[in-house]
Amino acid sequence: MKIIKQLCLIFGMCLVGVAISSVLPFTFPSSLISMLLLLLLLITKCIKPASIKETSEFLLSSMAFFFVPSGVAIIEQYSFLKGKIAVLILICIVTTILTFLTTTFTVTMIIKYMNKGAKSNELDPK
Amino acid sequence: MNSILNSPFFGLTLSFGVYWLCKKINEKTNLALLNPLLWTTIIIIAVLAIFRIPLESYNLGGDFITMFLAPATTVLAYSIYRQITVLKKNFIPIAAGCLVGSVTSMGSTYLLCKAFDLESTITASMIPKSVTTPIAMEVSSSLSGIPSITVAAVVVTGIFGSMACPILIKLFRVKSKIAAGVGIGTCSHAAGTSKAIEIGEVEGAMSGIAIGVAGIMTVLLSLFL
Repeated sequence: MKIIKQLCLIFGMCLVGVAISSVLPFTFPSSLISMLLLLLLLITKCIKPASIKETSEFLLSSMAFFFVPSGVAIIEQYSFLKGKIAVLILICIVTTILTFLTTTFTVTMIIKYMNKGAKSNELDPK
Repeated sequence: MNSILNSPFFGLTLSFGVYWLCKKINEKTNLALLNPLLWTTIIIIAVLAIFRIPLESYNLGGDFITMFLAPATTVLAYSIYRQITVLKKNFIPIAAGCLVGSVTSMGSTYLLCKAFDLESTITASMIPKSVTTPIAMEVSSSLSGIPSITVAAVVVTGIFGSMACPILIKLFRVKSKIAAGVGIGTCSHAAGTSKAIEIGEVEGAMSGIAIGVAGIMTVLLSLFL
């Protein structure tokens, strides 16, 4: 019963996301709308974390699996991409590494800078 | 035979079975190269090719699995909520990281596509590949790319990110869990996030936030292209 209730809640959030996304004047993915909405409901204590706990933990821990059919669907593009596949994969690899490095570098530096500022001003001692 | 191929249970059994096997091997060997998502995809493609099974038959079951991406993305809110104090305290570095990462991703992809002299439709399809599928498809079609190529690039990027990020964290000695999480989410969306969740609770939550923030940044940046 517990899982059914939790699934109902989570599927319901997805449905609301789809509804909101369809009336928005610009395109924004429904799953991100339902994510933001659920976060809002958790922060405002309208939904208790305990009432979605087990199902959420299952879905989060199995997330990679849900990508399998999208990966398999790549074969549909094979004929179009033939001959360019190696180059395209290389581009994906290089840019992903670059993006990871610039992002982590930026976050690390700003956190360091903010902590330094906080310390010298003694605004946020921690 | 046809009755088997026309049943959704064919795609479901194949996916669950192969993934279970790959996951088992991955846990035993603990090698990043034996990434379960990568190998499940390769093995299923091989099975379909060898037995000449049309993708449509596989998708009868596969579509059910894909459908779960939406609820899985939704419940990222649960992991973010559990780290809400970390988010509040570090909102500026997280947002700045996502912005710099999105610029890097789109910029470097554009430049490399130009360097390899690829057609403009392929370049446009590649530019948004670091963000979550629905946003990437939208950006791709607004740049007059081909959305299905974008989906392929998004998946390749995600699988690669989920394999490479743990190695990059060690190699470049990324000490901050927040930085590591935001980096994973920005460069390889939800597929990378699935790995970030395995690395740790903070990493998973930060990666989840980065999917959303980097997605929004990419949409905004694409308006200037």
